[in-house]
Amino acid sequence: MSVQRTIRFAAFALCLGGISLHQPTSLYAQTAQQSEQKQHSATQGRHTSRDTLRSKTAEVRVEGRRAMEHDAANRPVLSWLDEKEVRDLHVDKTSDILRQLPGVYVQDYGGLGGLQTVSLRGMSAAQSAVTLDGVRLNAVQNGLFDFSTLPPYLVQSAQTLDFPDLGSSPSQSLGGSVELQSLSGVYDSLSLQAELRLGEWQDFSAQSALLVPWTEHRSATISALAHSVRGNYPFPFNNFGIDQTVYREHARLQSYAAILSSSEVEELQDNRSTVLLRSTSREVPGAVTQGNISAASAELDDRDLLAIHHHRILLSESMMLSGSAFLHLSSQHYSDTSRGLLGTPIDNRFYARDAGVTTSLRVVDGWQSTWTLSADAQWADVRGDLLRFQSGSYARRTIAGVGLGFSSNPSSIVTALDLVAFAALRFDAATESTPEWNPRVGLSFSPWTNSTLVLSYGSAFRLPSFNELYYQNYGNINLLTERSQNLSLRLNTSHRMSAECSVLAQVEYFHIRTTNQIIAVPRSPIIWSATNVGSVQSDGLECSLQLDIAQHLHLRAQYSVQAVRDAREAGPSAGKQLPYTPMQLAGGSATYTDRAWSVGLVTQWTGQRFQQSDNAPESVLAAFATLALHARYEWQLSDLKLALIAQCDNIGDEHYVVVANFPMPGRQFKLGLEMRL
Amino acid sequence: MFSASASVRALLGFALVCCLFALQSCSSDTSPSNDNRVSLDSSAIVVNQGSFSSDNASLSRVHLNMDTVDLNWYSDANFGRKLGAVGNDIAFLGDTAFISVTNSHTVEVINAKTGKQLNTILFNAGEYPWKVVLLSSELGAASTTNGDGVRFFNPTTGVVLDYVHTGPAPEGICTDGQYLWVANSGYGTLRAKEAKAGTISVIDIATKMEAYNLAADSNVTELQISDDHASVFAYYQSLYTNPSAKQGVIQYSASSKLELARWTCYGYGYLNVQGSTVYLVGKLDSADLNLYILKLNTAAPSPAFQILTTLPSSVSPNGMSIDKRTGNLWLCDAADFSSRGNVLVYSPSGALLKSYQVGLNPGTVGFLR
Repeated sequence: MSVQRTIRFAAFALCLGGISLHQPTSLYAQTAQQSEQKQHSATQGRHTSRDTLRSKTAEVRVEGRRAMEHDAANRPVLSWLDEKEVRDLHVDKTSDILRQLPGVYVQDYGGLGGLQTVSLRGMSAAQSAVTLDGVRLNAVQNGLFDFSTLPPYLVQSAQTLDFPDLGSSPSQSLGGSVELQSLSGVYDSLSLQAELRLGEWQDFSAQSALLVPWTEHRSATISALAHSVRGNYPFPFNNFGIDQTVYREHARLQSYAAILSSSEVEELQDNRSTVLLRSTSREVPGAVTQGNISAASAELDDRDLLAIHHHRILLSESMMLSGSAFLHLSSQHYSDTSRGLLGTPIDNRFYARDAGVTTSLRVVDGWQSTWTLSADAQWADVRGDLLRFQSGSYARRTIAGVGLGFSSNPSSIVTALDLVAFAALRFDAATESTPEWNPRVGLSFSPWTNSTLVLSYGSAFRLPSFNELYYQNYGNINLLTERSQNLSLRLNTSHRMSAECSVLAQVEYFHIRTTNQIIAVPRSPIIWSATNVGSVQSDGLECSLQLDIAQHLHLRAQYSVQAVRDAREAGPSAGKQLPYTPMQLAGGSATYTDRAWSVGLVTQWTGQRFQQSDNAPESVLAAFATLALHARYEWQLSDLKLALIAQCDNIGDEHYVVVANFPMPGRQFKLGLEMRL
Repeated sequence: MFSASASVRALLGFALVCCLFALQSCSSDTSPSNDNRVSLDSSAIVVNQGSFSSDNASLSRVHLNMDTVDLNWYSDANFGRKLGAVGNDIAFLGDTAFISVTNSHTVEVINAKTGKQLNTILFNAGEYPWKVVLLSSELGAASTTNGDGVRFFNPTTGVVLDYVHTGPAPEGICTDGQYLWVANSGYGTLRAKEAKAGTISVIDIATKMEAYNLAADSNVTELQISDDHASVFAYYQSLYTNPSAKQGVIQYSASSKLELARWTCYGYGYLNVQGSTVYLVGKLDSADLNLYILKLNTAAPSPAFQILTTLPSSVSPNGMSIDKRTGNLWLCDAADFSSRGNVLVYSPSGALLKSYQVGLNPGTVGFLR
């Protein structure tokens, strides 16, 4: 009875897409997808008081990777990295994880602790939503999320989506969204993990995680980490005609983070609570130019607390209610002791609060179609020294919305094709803008076995950030909401060539048309103002390929080509590629595992970009490629599992910039030790 | 013998023609005209600011007799060498040009005929040379915006000399030979409340001391002196954050230092002076961006700016220079400030004569004849 009910619920949950396939947070989901996940699963042995038959079977351990997304309507996932893939990359930056996903461009302002933002499909970072455990991380102040403040150790998995879930808000998702899941899960035994890593330029990191199973259904995860790096790497520089090697100075980073997560999975409900604490202090020198390093003594301190609670309950076999609440408190302190434009040292502080609730009811009707009713509300405020323009150093925003989504029964229209029609309508209202109506429609079907073709159309919007509205000498309170029309056609296919060899491929075409694009327009040579004058069109093709051979070799490759044009009819930039938007991106990774050894490589390539909006040849930033290698050897001492890791980032010692005049690090060697008890 | 004397006569004749031509050329220097006859080396050197956090300041050369543009002239002439970050001004000493490169803390010295780099005058790290004037072969001066003063230097040796504190964020600078006039802008609203913001410091060049401090108005940015050294004109931008704020032009007596007249206008503008004629780019009582002219030597008791021509709406003015030989106005158009800009050449009567595409954010044009 229980097993049957559980499987039915799991199928229901998968159909709804309400449970992310990679999250081991749901007993039901685990049961349904156990063949896809690497888990220490105890699901076979779980039972409840409602069971008429109680039995306990032996633990089944299954190794594998997450399979292709089947629920294209509700979970329009573009690409993903599961927990094992994330760990196998052995990267030190969360942004380096995301570089392995097609269409992702990381804007990196240099240094080992420099600002890093992520954008999708040629849209800006503010037009690409970033969520952690379902909570939007983009700061309401500037619309950005700085990935350098989120250690990769805290990230369990990552994926990109081109649309939000049916009925959910498409706010800030003009280019799509990046979803991150933090380290958590339900575990069946106490486990302690620790990792130490040392690298050049005084790069030191230590991290640990304690996995505590409180009860059969409840586990807690306590993770902490510290990272410190001086960041004084050398780079070549031509200074007034003389080639020199210059060391990046004043680039120290100190970062601390802790995450406490509790997961509970019962038969009819599950819940999860997470508290994330972060503190980052870093020196943030500016552009390196001849004779000058701007903001050479600038420092930036970030502190934040993020508390999230999710709850889901199965009301009946055809109805599930889920809800979540979050609170995000953050502060930022920017200081520069040197005399800048103001002639005095800079000392600016911002304090932000962000809170919200979300609820969603999903129902399967008599025709096995799925209906989703979502409602959410969010409140945010910022108090800051430079929010002076008609805001009195304080700004706040309330946004609320409701959405209704529909997804047909796959077998109800054309059974042979698994044809699914889906549609959604979303209404959002914010305090300082006109209400937003955003529809979404699409079709999904299987042209052949293990393949899915999805055609989607939808719209999204982005409210102006507080900086765009109120920042001193830049803000414009008359800004309109940015809007986009998004069309995509995606083909997923997987093929098992033999018992030990499988391949997964995906190709997607996208078209995004953005209007009311907010860009900085000069009011004078030194004063720029945010203005709705832009229209941007982004067209592109994304391809990705995964190959698994004999459980020893795992290969990933991705390539994107995109034309992101200024769609205005006149002006020097009309029809030109947007500045700092690469036309091509590629990346790949390979991991070979054989008993105690594993070796791997991670590579990424970014095509040329332009600094100037007229795409002048003298403003070209050269394409660059980096390659990282690592080797890992593990052994066991009694109950203690140990692993030694040697790695080399940027092994070719490529000297490059992502942003002009912000040099990136060259080759870096690292050694690491992992312990698991 | 015959052939030799014939050759000598021919040479003498040719030399005579050359002398007459040279005298003709010299005589045309005394007043502006639309005589566009130029020597083979005549060129207009455009200083392109570049963008603020980049090493992409550049020089474009407009070859006047061939009507061609060397877009990235300095870099091409110096094996790819970069000029630096934020080029702002150019001044000449014979065939040598001095270019202030603000964020690189340098004044770059080049051969104005070839573009070859001759020297780099390095200012102190806290000093940002903005505008530059040459007082003699042994004395030059630059306003240093973040340095809040004026730094003197020897243009021949490249040695930096005395420093004189003036006020917050000095920008415009000009000289009558005895005094150095320096506009303390205060960077608009950023430092408007500091002492001496929006004033003009008048430095005695001999003593290197501030002799006068003249009240101007908020964010005074530009200074130009009339050709007869009788008047100094200041342009103030008021405060950027007040959309209705008026900008304006102030005329001072160069001798008495007294304010003689004041005109107000709207919008960001640029000022330049040719003889007794003042040109202004801005908005006076019109929504359009216009090129205005003010003739001071008229009999009118209170001369007023007159519209010379209306500029195309696509133009983003970023500076205005005058070719003293022809009187033509060279208006620097920064387009969208992130694309290559243009230089529009207007005749003194306001007719658009030429347009040249140049580098990123052109701001100043210097003329080599």
